[in-house]
Amino acid sequence: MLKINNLHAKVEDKNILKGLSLEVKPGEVHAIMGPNGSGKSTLGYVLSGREGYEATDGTATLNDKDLFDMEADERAKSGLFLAFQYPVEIPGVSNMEFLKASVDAVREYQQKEPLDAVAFMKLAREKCQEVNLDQAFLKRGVNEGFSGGEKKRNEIMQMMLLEPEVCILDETDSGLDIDALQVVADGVNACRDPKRSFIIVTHYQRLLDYIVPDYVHVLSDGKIVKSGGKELALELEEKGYGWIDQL
Amino acid sequence: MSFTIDFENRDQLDLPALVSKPLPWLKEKQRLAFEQFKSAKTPTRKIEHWKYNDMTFLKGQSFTQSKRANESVLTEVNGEFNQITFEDAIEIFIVDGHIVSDISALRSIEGLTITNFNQTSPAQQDIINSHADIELNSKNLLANLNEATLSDGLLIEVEPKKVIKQPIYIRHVTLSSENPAVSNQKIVVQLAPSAELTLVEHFESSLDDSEQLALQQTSIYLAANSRFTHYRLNLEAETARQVSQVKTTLDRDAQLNSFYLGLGSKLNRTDIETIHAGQNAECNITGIYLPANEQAIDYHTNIEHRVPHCNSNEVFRGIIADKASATFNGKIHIFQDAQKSDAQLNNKNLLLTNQAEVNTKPELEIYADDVSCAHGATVAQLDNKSVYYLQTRGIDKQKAKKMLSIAFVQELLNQIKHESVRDYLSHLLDNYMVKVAN
Repeated sequence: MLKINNLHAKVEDKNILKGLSLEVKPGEVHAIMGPNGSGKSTLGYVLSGREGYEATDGTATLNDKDLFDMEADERAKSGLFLAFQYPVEIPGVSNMEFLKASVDAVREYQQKEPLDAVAFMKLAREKCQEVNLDQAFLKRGVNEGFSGGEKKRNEIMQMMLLEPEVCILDETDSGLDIDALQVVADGVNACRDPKRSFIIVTHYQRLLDYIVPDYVHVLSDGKIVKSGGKELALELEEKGYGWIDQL
Repeated sequence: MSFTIDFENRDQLDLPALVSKPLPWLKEKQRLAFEQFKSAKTPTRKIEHWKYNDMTFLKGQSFTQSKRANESVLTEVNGEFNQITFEDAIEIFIVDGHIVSDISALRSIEGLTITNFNQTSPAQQDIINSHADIELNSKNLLANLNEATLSDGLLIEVEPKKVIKQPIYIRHVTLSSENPAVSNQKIVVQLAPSAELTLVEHFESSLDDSEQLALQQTSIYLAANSRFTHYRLNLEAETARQVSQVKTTLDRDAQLNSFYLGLGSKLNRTDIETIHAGQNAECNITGIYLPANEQAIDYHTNIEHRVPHCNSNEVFRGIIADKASATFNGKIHIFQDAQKSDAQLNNKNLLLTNQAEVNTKPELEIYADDVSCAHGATVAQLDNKSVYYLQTRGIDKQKAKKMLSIAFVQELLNQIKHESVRDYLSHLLDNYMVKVAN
């Protein structure tokens, strides 16, 4: 499904990723853990096509299609989803208008029937309920004045609506209290599917109590330095990131 | 008869020769205006008033006055131009500066009188004369030229306590068979105490490449406790040039709500004068300007708080595309006696390209010491992070830019009270943004 091979990437002339390889198969949940500055967020940005994040070497393919050959929106339409650590606020564009445009674009690309306004409203309201967001949020500007937790739940709701194949969750747990974390994790778990896979980027092990990964990878200085099962996360939590340097 | 104006040698021009069908009762004001016109300096960028306008086209150019089209032209106009669909409105056509609709045949509505300048009674003529503010126009020779050569105009009056539900929908159309041509006319609005009226002025021009210069003035007097809603939509062709003024005087407790839209035009210069002349008057002035290609749109606004306890709230937003330029000059003048004035002014601009230009100049002149005033102006470009965010949700770059641009002015559109105007403009903006967000 998603194959990353020897990926090097730079941001403003600074090399951040230095030969990262990872293969994610359908239905798998991979956790990527690592200290601040190890390149965790960069990975999500490079794969999703953010301007200024440039892949200098290596490859990344989604269902054998070269990601770097596609515009950011094409990557999204091909089934890649990034849930942001800091979703932007867009006053003036209503959440509903945004979600409709997004779902329309993705469905059109995937040659699915467009949803009419009524059907879409119904769907959006359902998803709101699933992530415990008041429906009033649909009328507000995108993320405008949302709390940290509300923004994250909005991200998860978008993921539910777009039904992507590969979901990258970038520090979705940061800044969440335990109740919000539970809601977000429930949302993610509800989306788990034999055909859908997840990359969960996190600094803390806590999230992995709620979303249990199949694999845990440790990222350090732009490379994966250790991989293992879910128990690796606990070991990391216990020994701290300093332990990696001794590996 | 039509006149020809050579701006370079205007001191040799003779007024009687210029006015085709003179209005004898306006003669004295016209003579004064004409003197101002002759003595005023030719607009150049060295004069502050014209600093941001390219007026070089006046140099060495002679303009012929537009001829009056006959009523049959309206069939063509109706076919060619998009109109706002009102449930119920009184529609008046002004083509090339001439009132083409038969005013006497308009449906009569109780409390509302619409009169052609050449059909006015002596009392009405006094009203029109009281609106000729020669001093106010002293800096603007084109305003004076308009005043001096007026032969066509409309007086709109509302009687005390009459609430006119039907908007008056004036369609200013420039077709201009002559080339280069100048057209001129004036609208005078007089609201009696506690009267209410909505006026929609819609400017359009045909898509030819003619050199047109449209001069226009709308002058409004709002008596005590009256309410006036004014839309002024400039949707002219690329080649159009318009220099116009809107002047509103508010007596006590009067309320003005106005909305401006500027789109198209090689030159669109609108001077908006708003005068608080009675206590507790209130004005809300909003506007959107959207120049593209090599267009230039300029709004010069001046709000005068002459008496205490008045409010003014002014918000203008602009999106400037391609190599276009925009100017916003927002002045607030608070007189010494105008204590407890509340004046808010805000101007935000979005530049879509590196070559787009905006000149924004808020000006406060405050002589009272107990007032609340705030002004702010910003210039920004589309936020790359927002574009990227929308892209990661499958929305292509062009659509993302379009959504963000519309969002920039959406708030002002949402405030438009008349649904038919709001719908018309939403559609228009949607189509326009598809073109410029490339």
